[in-house]
Amino acid sequence: MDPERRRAWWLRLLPAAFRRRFGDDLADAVHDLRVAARASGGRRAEFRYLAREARDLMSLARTGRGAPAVPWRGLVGDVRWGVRMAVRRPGWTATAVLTIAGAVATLTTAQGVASAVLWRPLPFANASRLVLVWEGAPGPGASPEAFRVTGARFADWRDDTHAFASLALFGAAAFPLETDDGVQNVRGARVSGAYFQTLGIGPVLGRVLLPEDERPGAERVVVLSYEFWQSAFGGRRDVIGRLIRLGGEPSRIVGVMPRAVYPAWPVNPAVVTIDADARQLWVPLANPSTIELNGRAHVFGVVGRLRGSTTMAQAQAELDARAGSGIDRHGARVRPLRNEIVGAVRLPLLVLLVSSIAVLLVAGANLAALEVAQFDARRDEFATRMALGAGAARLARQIAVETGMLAAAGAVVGIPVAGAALARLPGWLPAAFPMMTTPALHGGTLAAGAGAAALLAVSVAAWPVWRLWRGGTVRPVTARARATASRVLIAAQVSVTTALVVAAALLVTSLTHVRAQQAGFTMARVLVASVSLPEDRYRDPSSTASVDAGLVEAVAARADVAGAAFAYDTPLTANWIEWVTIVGAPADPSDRHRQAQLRIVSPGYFRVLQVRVLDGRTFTTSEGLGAQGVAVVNAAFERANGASIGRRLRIGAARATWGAAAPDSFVVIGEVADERFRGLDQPSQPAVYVSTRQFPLLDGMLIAVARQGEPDALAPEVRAAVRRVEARATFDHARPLAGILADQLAPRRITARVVTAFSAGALALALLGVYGLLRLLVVERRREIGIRIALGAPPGRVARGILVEACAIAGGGVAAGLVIAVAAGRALDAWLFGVSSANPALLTSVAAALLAASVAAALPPARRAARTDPVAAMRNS
Amino acid sequence: MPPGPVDSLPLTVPVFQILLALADAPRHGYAIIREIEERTDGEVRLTASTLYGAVARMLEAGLIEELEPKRGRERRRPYRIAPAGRALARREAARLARAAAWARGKRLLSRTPGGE
Repeated sequence: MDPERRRAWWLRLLPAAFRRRFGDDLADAVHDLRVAARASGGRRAEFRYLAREARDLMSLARTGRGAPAVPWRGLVGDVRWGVRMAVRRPGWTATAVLTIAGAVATLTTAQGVASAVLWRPLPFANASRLVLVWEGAPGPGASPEAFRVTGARFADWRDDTHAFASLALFGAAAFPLETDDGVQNVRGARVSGAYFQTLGIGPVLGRVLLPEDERPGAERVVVLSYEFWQSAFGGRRDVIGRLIRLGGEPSRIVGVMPRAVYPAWPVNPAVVTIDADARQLWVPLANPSTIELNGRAHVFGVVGRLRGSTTMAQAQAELDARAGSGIDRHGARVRPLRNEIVGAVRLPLLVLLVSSIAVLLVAGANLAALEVAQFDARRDEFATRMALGAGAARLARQIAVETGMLAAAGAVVGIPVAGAALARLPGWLPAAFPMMTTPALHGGTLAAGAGAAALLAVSVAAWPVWRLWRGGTVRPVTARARATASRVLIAAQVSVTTALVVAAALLVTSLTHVRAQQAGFTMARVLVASVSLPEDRYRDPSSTASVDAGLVEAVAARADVAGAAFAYDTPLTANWIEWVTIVGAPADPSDRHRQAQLRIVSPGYFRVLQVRVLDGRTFTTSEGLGAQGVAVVNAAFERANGASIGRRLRIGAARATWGAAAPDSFVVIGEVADERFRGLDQPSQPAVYVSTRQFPLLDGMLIAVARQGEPDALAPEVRAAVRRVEARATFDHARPLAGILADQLAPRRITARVVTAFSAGALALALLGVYGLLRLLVVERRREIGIRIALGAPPGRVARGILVEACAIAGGGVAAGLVIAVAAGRALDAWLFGVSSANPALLTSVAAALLAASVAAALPPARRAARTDPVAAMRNS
Repeated sequence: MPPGPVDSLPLTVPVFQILLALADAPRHGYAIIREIEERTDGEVRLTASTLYGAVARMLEAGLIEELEPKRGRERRRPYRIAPAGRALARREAARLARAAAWARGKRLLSRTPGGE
């Protein structure tokens, strides 16, 4: 047999005798017609032909006869019939359309958000070639594994490696911007000249920053973000060429960038922070040549575009090979740009997507079960139609058209609702959410919605179409077949609901455990605000140290303030990682180089934030610039490096900033309890604290604790106090410390809430299903129940029988659901905190609760069964 | 509607067109489809399933006959119109001509063939 015929599997659809006689010729004719169609009209014509042929083939298969030449004439009639039937059953129609609309809207929204963040193309050219490159710690298991890059290392990578077509630096920048309303603190990024070219994105107005802008003596330029352009300049197109005063110097606006998520604020460990504030403008690096000589300040992020077909592994290997020796023995970590930015929300989004699919499945099973229950009641309707000449096949087609219309109606309601939700969503999510592209009803999302509607249509139509197709005529469905189908559908709903409830329970438990973690510092009534001092006024360390002290005193003196402190960063946003040398001592002769968080805090910090002192003491106001450097370490530092009180530490950062006036050698005088630095679910890292009296700060976080009431109310007073000490200080982003924590917990919290809502909805549907099914069973078996009661069976036993049946159905569903939950739960384990997905106690409680709920749902029908009047039951049957 | 006997008037479109196609020469299945498509200018396009379904019934009713395929490249079975089929086609054509004459009498159809 030649290949063409071997492929004609579809001939098997035809009756055997016909196939033997005409099969070969028919296959040949189909082949020739395909070729002719393709030749005359391309793939579309071929596809259209195949659709017609398939339709006629199915018709031939059913009846052994050809279809009439114009079969679509009936479709309009089918639609009209469908509308009439829908109007005749308004309750069912409304339920079906609303259920479909709800499930479609849910799934479409979930898919829209997920694809906007995870899958839709980024506005950068060839975004899959973009990577972020960090410096990597030498050993495995080092903490942190990856961290910010120095200028010198960047220059080395750029000049002497081949893996990248282009590399660019980016680092945090904050400027006082002089506006008509005073000085406003504006945050942005300072970037190397090739930044926008590496990313591969062009401006909305003007031009992007270029390597020429980095040249010494070049005019100071700045590029604005779209949001900043809109808010500060009203979106006016004449901003290009205007001068603005940033940090006391005029800068010329040369461009405006489109809306996107740009890598902007790198923080340690190796994370790019996203929030609207950090993306307001871009300036070229000042002094790139100096920066590229600095091998100590780990403050930058690096974005790169891989060359040609180089893989990330190859790039990483090439960079690792260039790792130096000694303290500088760092390799590299090369990671995809998108993953780096969205990593933390990938799993929550997938959880939400899968949960919405689960809701869809439960809705589908629910509607299908309703159809099964109603099928017998519709037999009269079917019989009428067949008397009017419709064959069973035609009838099946009419039902398909009816349910198709229901699904279409549900989609027409649900998809626009999803569209509206997607449009509003960015406003509801926290600013730190990486919304990589704008969520909208794009191709994939619309397809998901249409697919959901189609799936629901199939599940509703499945039973009636199947019965008709099989039967040929409308034979009465055996009670057993219907009962089995109903039980399976209800059990399926219960199983998916069980899995959802388990997921919700796990997420809520995780969230509770995280919240219960000891932070190591207090957050009650704590306000934090970002304060910047004007650089031109405070050029030497001693005046800076005294204004730092002045600020704290002024704020603490306010009547409503219980305590104040000044620190480089809040504990929840700590991100300065330094190499610290533990100088050798008689008991431990060699120097050891270790990494630790560097926390620069005012002397009263520990008292104000209630950080517990475990050993020794903390800073006093007398340890100043001229005195011996002192440091405090945390418990994690001692765990990692041994008892430290009395040891000497060499830390270069203060001297690097302030010169010889600042100490570079610090004696450890105390140990404090761990503060959680990167969210409550991350373990504490080793940290070294130094005093602001010995390492003065020009920028930092002012911390104020309110005596009573909400910390927000303090903000105006604190701002006024700060301004009284230094009129040109900027004071921004005042918010409660608890608010920062809430933002960090947002992914967990939102996911837990949404999945709980989904599981509540699914539970309601499933319990309704149980109730409905049992009620139907009781009604059907009235006669039998009546006889049993008449023969003396105690009503209690009859009721119990119903409840047992409910238990059996629900029990099967719950068991299947637990299996699904355990299997799927493994994917969730990495994210759960303090609870594992295979937790027997939790699984048992969920199972018990669901069984109890199912039994409760079965109580009304059971009671009705027990109260059956035997005489009436037997008479009415 | 379930199809009536294949040899009762009015003929279905596929049956009549197949008889027309075979009226001047025997042809095999694909050739019949092409001839009908070209002759009717694309107005009637049969699928292979429709064709062979009709052919099966027409063979059964003796309207057409099967021929042995020629040796060589062409292995498909050609069909030839039978006297009964020719007679039936004539009767159908006459019926259609009468219908056209009635329509013309009522000024629904112009005298020129093929159109309004």
